[in-house]
Amino acid sequence: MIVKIVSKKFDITDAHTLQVAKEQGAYSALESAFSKTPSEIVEIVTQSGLRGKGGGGAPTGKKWSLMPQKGDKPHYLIVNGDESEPGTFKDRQILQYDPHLLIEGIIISAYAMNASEAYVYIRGEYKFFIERLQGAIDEAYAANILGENSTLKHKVNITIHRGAGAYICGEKTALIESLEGKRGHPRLKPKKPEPEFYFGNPATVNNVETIATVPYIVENGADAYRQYGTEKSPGTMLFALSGHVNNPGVYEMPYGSSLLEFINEIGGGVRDGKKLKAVIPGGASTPVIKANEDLACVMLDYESMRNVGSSLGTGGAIVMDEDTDMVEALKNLLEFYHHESCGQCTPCREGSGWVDNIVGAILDGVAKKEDLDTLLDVAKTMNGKTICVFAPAVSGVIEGFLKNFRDEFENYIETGRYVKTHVDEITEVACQTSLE
Amino acid sequence: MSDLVRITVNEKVIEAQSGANLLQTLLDNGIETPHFCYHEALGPDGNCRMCMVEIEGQKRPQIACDTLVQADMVISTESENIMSVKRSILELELINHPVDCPICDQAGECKLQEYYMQVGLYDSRLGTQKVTQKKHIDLGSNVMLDQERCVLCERCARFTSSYTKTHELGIIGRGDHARIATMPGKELDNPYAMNVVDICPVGALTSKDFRFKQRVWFMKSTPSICQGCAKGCNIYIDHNTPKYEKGAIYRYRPRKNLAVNGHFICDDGRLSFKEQNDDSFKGTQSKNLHISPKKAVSKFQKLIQSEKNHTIIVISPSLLNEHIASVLEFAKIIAAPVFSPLERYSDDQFGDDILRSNDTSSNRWTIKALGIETGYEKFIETLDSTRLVINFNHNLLLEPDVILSNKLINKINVHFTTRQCRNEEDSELSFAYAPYSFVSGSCVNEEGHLQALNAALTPTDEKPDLLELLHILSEKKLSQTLEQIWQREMQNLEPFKGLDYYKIGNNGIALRSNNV
Repeated sequence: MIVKIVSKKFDITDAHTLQVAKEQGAYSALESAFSKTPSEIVEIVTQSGLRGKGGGGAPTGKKWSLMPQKGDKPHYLIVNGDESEPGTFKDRQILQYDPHLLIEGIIISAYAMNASEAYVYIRGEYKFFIERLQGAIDEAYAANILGENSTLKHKVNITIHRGAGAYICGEKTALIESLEGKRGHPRLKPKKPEPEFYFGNPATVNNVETIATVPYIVENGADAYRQYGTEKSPGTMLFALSGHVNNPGVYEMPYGSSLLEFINEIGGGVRDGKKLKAVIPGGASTPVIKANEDLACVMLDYESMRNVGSSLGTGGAIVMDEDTDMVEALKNLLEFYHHESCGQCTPCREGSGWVDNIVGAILDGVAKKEDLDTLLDVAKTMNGKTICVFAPAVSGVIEGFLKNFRDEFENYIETGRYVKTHVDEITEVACQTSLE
Repeated sequence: MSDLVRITVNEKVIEAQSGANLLQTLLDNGIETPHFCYHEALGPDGNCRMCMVEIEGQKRPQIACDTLVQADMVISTESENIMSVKRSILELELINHPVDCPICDQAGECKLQEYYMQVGLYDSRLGTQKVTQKKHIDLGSNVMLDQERCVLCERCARFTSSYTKTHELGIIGRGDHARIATMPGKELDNPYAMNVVDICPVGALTSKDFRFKQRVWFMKSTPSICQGCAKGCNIYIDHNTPKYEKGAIYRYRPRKNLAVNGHFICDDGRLSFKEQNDDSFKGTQSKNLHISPKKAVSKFQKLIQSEKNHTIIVISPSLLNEHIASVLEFAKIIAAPVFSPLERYSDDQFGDDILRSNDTSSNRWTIKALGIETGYEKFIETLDSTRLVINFNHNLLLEPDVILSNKLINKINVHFTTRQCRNEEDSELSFAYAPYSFVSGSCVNEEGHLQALNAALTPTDEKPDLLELLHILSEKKLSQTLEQIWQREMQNLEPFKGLDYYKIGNNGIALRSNNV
């Protein structure tokens, strides 16, 4: 199941240093990149079907081709390393173990989009990882790979910007606002496809992992990348596994791998031999999937996840065993959203707090039966009525929990405490795999 | 982009500019669409989510403020679905609102109240604690903030960033703890600060000057023009005359006129209503002592007889057109030259490139257009060879400097004034007359825009209308009423020929500037 494209050098000692990285083939893609024109690179990336790894899964090539061909305004590449989604910890592996891969990706991507300035926005809490990347950048400057004295065909400067701790700054437009020195509020969406704008100049925002995938694609071609994954979700992704499993961690696998196999074979199964109750498949913001026969057939790709009413998100799966109190679990998530709603749009600002308080009231044993309907009602109002997708995600989280575990919530309201419910063992079923 | 297209709103076809803002189009067509964050002067921000409309072909409700008009759009603002969406969002807007309307100064002109009546009317489902925040923060510049009542529409913050560019206000905190605040170490301090009180759709920002003085439903609003400078900003005079009591003005508010002041006024103009309420100077006086009006009139008439050919008239460049017309006719009758020195009517510190003008007279345009002498030297020259000085509210004579005082001390001084004269004991006669809020009339701003003032309060016997006063003093030779003066005296003045007070309307008329 494991395929190492981005994580190729993760297990090599000191691969974060330029010397070791170079020995292992870092910056080897540059030669083949500079032998192509920028638009050829955009074309290869488009052909490869590379999807954004930050949670949305938007096609990267399409995003790149929005950058204007003409005009004298400077272009910017902004790399999103704000990784704040609970359950998601993949980008930091790249920053820690193979920062030169990211730098290589930035150089190629910046060349493709004619950007000579690149910013890497990293969440402030990632102090260690920021220092790691900065160390690598310094080495690259010293080796004339970056900067004005670069010996390469395309000169790039990379600046790291440290976030100040807001989850919403992982949203690309809020990130740009924050980068511009403003409050991290997402921007209104454009009326027609257009690039992002950084101080009014065209810019592209890509996830760290997305950029780190670019060197492989450019060096080996679109087809090499397409040999992995599915038709609609080609390639691989760094899947993170956390929660009640024996082997939590980050594993690179092709899209379309089985979720259950991921948990049981790579993850070593549920901790302490307990039964699996539920999985949040792609970071906290994706709706929870109940462990039943359906889950047995869920594949790790965007389309398969959508079919079961969830989303692949950032690929960070959170596993919950049979003893998990789902009311408590939802409360834990909602507290996060209550704290992190940026407060711009009314439904999100007020709704995030209200839903948290309602679930809190259930835990405190002071909730009424109608409160569950109110909860769903507020969730409905939060869906599709805001500038960004924060509130719809919260809405999906609530609906996921109530769709799958409503009885637990009702029990809780009735008895005022957690009543353990019976969880079935998942039986082997014949699935139609989407991995062809 | 600016083609006229047809769109269907609530099954009615309306004409609209293609590419125009949909919410503004709806509002301009009188279609009620609840909104907090959108403001015509500040543009869309898309945060309040109240202006949701259903657009045929769109999966989800859309905010009208961020939608552009396109030909053949089919829109619903009142379908069952959209009403329920608005109700849900309003419910969220109110869950952390203190609902302290009985003690809130905004009550009666609060958008939350209005929309609750329009689309809300539900019972509260809130079973948990509300978020509490600070309730009286003095932001500076007479603006008080109640963070609990705030709906975070950001209009005030956007006003300070896009209109005044002073950036004092912003939001701190996130989620339901987000709140408006001044930037660290700063306070709200700009000449337009109090506009945030008007643009605040709820009771979060209130005016320290106005709050708790009067319930808004007791007041009447009269459209008028600020006389603070030559810009001629359009205002509403909010006033109340309780039964058997003296009326008073409680506040000025800006009145939208895109040709003149847009949506706002400056704070100095806004607070200038206080002078209108000032009643310390009234009636007729001689050498600082009250005398009966009758006695004053006969004394005045004797004076103009005895000092014939030794009289000059000085008029303020802030007099209303009608008053200027009447005084000019009066000057003809007594054959006195008229001066209107512009000294004291400019202030280099006052103007800016937003609304305020360095020209602090409100009707200089007319004075210039009529060719009245405005030079100071000429005025002094003539003053030296004269004995009787009749002043119509000119600052220079009301508050003369030492040199001018020494010149005036040997003259017979007569003042027609709305306020106390500094050298009252040297004044042979003083007639108090009603300031502009008490009379209807007109003035012309520095750009040649003729605008109408409407009487908010009624002149009293102790402070009569200047027209009335001149009518009596001229032994009824001059017009008594606004209608008459526009039919007679005003028609003698070139810029106003063929015009009529009632034609001016609320938006004014741009006069041809070649008259100047």
